[in-house]
Amino acid sequence: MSQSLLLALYDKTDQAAQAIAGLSDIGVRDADVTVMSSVPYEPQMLGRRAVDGRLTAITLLGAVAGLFLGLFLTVGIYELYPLMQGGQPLIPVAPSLIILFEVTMLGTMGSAFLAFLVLNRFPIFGRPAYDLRITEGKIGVLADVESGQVFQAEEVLRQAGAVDDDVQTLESDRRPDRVSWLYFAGAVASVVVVVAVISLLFFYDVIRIPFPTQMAAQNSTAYVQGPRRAAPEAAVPVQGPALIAGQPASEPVPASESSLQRGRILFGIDCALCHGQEGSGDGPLAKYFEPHPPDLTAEDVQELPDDVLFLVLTQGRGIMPSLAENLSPVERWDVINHVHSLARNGSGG
Amino acid sequence: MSVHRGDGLADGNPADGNPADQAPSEVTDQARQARARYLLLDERPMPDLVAQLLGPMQRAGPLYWLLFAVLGCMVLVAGGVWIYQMWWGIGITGLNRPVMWAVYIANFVYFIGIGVAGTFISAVLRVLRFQWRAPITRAAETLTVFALATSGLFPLIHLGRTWKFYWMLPYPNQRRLWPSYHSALLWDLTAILTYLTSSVLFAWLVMIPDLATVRDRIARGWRHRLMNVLALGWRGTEGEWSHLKTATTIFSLAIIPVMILMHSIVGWDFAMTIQAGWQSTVFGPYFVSGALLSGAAAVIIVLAVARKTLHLEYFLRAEHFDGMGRFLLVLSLAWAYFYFNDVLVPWYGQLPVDKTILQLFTSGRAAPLWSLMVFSNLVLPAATLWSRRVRTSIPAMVVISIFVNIGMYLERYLIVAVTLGRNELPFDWGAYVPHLPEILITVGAFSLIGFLFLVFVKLFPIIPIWEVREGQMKQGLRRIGRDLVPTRVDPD
Repeated sequence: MSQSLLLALYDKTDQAAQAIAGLSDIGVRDADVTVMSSVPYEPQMLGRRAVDGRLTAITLLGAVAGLFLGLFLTVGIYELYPLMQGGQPLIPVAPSLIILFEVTMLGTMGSAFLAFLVLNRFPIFGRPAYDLRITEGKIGVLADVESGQVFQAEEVLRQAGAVDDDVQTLESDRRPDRVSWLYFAGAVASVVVVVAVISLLFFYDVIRIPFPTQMAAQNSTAYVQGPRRAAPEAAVPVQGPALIAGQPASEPVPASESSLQRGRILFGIDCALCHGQEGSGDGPLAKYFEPHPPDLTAEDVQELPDDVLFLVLTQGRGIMPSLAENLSPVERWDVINHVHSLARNGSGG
Repeated sequence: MSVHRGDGLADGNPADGNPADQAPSEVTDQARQARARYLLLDERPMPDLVAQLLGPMQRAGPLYWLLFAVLGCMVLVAGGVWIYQMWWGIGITGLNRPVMWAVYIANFVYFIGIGVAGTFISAVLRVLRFQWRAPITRAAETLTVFALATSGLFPLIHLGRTWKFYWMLPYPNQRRLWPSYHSALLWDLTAILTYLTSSVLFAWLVMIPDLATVRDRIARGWRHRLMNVLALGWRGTEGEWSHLKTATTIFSLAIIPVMILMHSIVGWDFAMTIQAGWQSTVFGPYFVSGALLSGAAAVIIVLAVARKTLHLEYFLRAEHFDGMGRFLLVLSLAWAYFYFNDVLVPWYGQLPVDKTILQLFTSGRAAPLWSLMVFSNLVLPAATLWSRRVRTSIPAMVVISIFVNIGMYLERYLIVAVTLGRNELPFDWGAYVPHLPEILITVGAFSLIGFLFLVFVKLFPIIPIWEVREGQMKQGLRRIGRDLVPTRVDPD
């Protein structure tokens, strides 16, 4: 590459603008000229073209990415891992809007900063052409010219009134080291991706940690209460074994003949009025409710984990009331067994 | 129109008559007066500006180290108390039924409020192109970052079992116990993390050209190496300046709604409950206006202290305190308006519990605190700040700002700790008295912000040099009739 780097400093904007115009006259391309200053001059002041608006475009992309991340946090997570709360919708609209807004803005500003770094190729490696006097208020004009043009360009730069009548010819390695920058950016990006993937593996049950909490057994001594005594062996809560996923008291009742029989009777009493005798959502009262009671034999209901169904029975959901006072925990498991048998009978027959 | 730089004299409109009508000495006199008054007209060579900033940065007298030691010790004491509290439990504080939220939460709200104003001042003044903002944005942005980081500690301190804080992060797992966005506390976490991240990035982004200046002026040593890394290789090319300008505009526009929403959420933390005195639809804007009030006052205090101790008389002039004073007056009236909204409606309703709380504030045991709050937040600023003489007097502004901050702290305290003592069930009423741990931790929090500032001003330029220089480039004097008037060119 037979290019040479020429750097001249100027005291005044007029001189710098004259030098830039002169370089353009002798055929130096606009892209090969760089202006450096300690004050943000508008491009027009120096007769330069405005820098393109890629930063805004990247920021818009970042905003969209933030929006999708927000949707994942507010909708995706709860669709993947439903967290029922008595009488409340699974995905609350107003609070979700707050989270969506915040994460979108984080995406906007984070990507604006990232775009600023990437478009400028920051951090700059190597020893790019520079002069400390630029921070003192001088304007630096840097030209990357063909070797045939060097004398002509030097003359132009000097005539425009270069400080000390001096045009520095710099060695060709005085350009930003883009290769190191690529390595650096690649290394940072890989670290980010690896950390993100590993933490997601932990968070989303791919790598399982049993998070032992033993809350019930903790010997809590808050200052307003005495030590809580540990429950005796084999004790169960007065209302029967409650549901805590994976903990001993939460044992579902096996779908035995007697359990299914009990379930059928209880279903007829507590559920059939709305959900229908066959569970297909067409009970005598169904037409009075908007939304209609769901078809319990449908796949999306049947695929819910049993403990979620148990929570729906216990706490209610949407306009469905809680059945905790109508059904003891054992009876709730009977009904769940019966609901599953409805689907089997349905698809079988 | 042509506006010259430096000499302060510009060609006026030809129709306005000939400047030669006036005696030359009168003209230069007017120009000299304008230069003395306005920083942006008083252009000086770049090395002079940098030397004025770098001098105090590189020297540290005995007073500095004394303050450093004292504040550092107070922070250490507060840290020790926090560990002690984690060891023994939250029972060592004055918290008890029914007042389960008190000083820690009041501190949380107060410091977030301080943090809100910094960005507001910096971003809003940037968007609206207020010229006098140039030298004060950095101090405001820095205050935001430090106050926000400090306030973020308080939910952790208040948690008692601080090590459980990760339960707030949305990570589903097989325990089937994870945070739900139904909870206002989770909005808090999201909003604060967003705001803190963007404030740090914003402050850094705008500081990069100045970091490069310091890097170039200090040729060697650890300072040079630190600045070399943080300046990212900034050279001031057109591309860099252009991208910086676009990014700054995006940040300024985006961070304003984030700030407003974040402090509204802090208000909603209270308003979402069924506690009398908290359940109010006006809490969002009411909290935001209070936050801006206390924060603007805190910025004034920081500016005055920095001006005195770092000898920034050239950069920070009466005009800046004048501008901040107008701002403070508007914010004080806005706060009073929202507070009146919050008082009037319950007063009209005359529900027994609302009446009780109102009586407690206006004529009951909390009356001294309440009266001091109203005096500091409304009466004092509204009675004095209309006067230009008060606004341009720096000691007066500092006194008013200190009062405003006392008033705003009291407001937070009254809302959190005193209101909670009265609820719908009179058998459950109570009063809260802060115990030593809370007091020490609160003192430690104020010391932490001071300490961080002490460290910051010795490492980084507290005045944005390039913004001052940009303002000076674009500002000039224009003759209209017999007067010289400052004018600004803003080519876009």
